[in-house]
Amino acid sequence: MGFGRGDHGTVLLQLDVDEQQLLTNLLYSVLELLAEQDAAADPVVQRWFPDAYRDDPAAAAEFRRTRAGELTQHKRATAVTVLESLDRPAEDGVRTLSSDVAVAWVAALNDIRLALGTRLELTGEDRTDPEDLAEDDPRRPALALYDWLTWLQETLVGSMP
Amino acid sequence: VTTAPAELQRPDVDEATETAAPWVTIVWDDPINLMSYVAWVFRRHFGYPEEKSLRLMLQVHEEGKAVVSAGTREEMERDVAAMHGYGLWATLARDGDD
Repeated sequence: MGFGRGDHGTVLLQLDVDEQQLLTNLLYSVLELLAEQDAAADPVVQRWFPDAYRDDPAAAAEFRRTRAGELTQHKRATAVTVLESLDRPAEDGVRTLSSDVAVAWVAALNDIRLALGTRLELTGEDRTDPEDLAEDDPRRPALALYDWLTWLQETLVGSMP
Repeated sequence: VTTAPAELQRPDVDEATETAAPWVTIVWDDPINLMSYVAWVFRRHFGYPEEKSLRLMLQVHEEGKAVVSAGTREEMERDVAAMHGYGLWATLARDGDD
């Protein structure tokens, strides 16, 4: 399961039906948040589009004004490319991704992890292990999902041509 | 590019100071981006060899930030936008201001 290196610079992807559905839902959440008009104060949006100037709010605002549209469009196109690749039927459960599609996958997985990690307020290396949380702690499934996405992205980076 | 006339009208002294100081792109450490991914982004976007990409990634991780490229302000804005496209936390600054 996960990603592996294919022939001729391609990347192989094997997911079960539940995993495909889960990723599809997450990608639609990304698209929904990108489409929201008044989301500038959302911590996830702020993490996706951080200030380009640390100590110059006016320059940061100008950068945002001129670049935000293009960056939003880039993130949207990335998510759509991945959704389209999930829509295509797999051969014996395995998809062969071109290097361009694999690049979209790795960036899209990163966007999803940034969103989830920001919502979970992950701030340091020494974060909680989901197994250490109470059975009914709502963070438990979210952390487990985050860890799975981390593993998935790691296998993809290791499989990139 | 329609900004050329405005550039020409700027006072000479302003132009001299702006071009004298090169700008840099800085990537900051964050708890979510994977070390392997950050190194991969440096290889892919800047075309840096594996060794340099790993060294810069480790500098981000261990020192909290690293200067990953230098050039004109416009070039650095492009690099920062590209880094944001990959989800890295990047800013630009005049060289020396970081």
